[in-house]
Amino acid sequence: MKLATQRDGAGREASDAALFAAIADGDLGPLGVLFDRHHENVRQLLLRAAPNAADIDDLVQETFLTASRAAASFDGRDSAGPFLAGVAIQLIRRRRRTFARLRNLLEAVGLAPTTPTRTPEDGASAAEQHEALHDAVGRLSEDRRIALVMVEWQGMSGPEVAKVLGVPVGTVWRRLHEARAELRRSIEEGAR
Amino acid sequence: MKTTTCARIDLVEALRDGRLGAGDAESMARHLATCAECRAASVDLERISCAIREPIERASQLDHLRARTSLLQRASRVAAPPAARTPAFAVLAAAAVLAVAIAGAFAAGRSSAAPERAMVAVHRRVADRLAPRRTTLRPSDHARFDRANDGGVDVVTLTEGEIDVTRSPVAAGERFVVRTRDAEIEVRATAFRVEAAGGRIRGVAVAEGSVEVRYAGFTAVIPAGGSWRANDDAGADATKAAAAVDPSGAASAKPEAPPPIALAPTKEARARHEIVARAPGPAREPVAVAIPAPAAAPIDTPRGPSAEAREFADAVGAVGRGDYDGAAARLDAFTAAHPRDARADEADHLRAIALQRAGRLDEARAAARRYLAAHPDGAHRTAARAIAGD
Repeated sequence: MKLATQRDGAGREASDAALFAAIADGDLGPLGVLFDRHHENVRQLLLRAAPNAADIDDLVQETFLTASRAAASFDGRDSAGPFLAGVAIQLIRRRRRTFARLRNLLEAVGLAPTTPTRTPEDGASAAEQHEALHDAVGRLSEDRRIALVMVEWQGMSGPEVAKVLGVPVGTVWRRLHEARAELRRSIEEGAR
Repeated sequence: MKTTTCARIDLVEALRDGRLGAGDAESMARHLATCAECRAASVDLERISCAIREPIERASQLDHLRARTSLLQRASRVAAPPAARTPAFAVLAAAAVLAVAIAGAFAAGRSSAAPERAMVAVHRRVADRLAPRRTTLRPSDHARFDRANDGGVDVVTLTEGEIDVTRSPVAAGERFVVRTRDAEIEVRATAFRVEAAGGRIRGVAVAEGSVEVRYAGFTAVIPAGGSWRANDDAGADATKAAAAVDPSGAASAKPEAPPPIALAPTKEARARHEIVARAPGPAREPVAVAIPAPAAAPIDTPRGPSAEAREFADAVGAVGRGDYDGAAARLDAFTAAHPRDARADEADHLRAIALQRAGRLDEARAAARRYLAAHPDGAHRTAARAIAGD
């Protein structure tokens, strides 16, 4: 859905880079246009990378707010998609650190929540196997899931993911491999 | 996972991720055709990829609209840039100390007038210190404008709608200009609003500082509190505006009394509350011309959401609360009151949705048809057709 557009002198829609440049100059108007263009992609990324989060919509908004504050650092590429994806992923990781502190506190007083686990049933149907795979994705560690989602859904290369996460590219490949291995085990268990 | 026997099993992943060179990739592709174990691994990886890429329901248009509104509201509340934090904190701390001192003096039974004045002064200084140090543009929802650096001059070209500008003091050598097709507004340290329609200037209202307006052959300075609205005749083009000035030097029309605007010629007489124009041509002396009063109260600073924005947000909020009847009534009132507003499209569409959710299906269909009639190329025409049952 497009609620607004901003155009250059030739009547073309302003590029993401132009919109970010305007935001960096203190003009918040283009933020709405960027939201119209990219919010669904950011939302879909967050739904996959943080499937257990109850505050996805808030994370989407926070992504755009954070991106607007960091507008001056946008590298001017044609699409802001990878930049926004990077911001969204960083927000997930920051939130995880916050939650980790909370969890440690709760564990200290014996109130830590437990993560539900699924027990595969013999002769599970295809639909159940499908659901089991999705559940297994949700049970991946966040680092592994983020690497998997950024590569498989966002279409980013290993070096791009490494840059966003601030880790060596070898770490990305390792997390990706571990995520896939864990999911393959889930597939095989579901098929038994 | 089953015990693997093929030595090349790890290359299945490397092939998928594009980590193999061309030769190795071709070799691995051939291997996949013959090795059942590697082929099974490849199928698993594809299943995993499909699970990740599986479509997830998109956000509804209503949710999008609600999130967008919320985002822009949150963005407008963003604090001053980090660079200003330390000094701003110092100012706040000083203000707090002074406030305590003033409260103490007040409690001691001294005059209350001085503390009030002091608090106002502190408030203004703190507010000034916390104010953004750069240019802030707040366009109206339907504003159309471009911004560019033209030979070192920061230029905003406004073709439609309104823009509120807040500009911190312009440093030596810096220039900031707002242009329309027929006018140019040179900005000093100021907060002001410019309105344009069809590329032509419609009005300028200054809240703080001053701006210099160059329009239809004249130059004038609008000080704080002043405003000006283009005369339709004069606004047509510079030629007509020049012709509006009587060659004899007399005013072409009488200023309305009391003059609502404080326009003064550049430098010479800014304090005089009169309108001065310079007609084109070398021999012309400055002459007074009439410029009609603004049609509406021009200044609203600091500017919050417009009345239209509040009405629209109220209506959207009613939808969010599940008050569909109330939302439909609000949206109907919105489009009736602001038929040319950029959000009228959204309001018509949302009204159809609200009526549908309220169970008023006949009215929902009628509203959807009204939307389609009013916005045949509207962004929501597909959804509207579905509601209309067409």
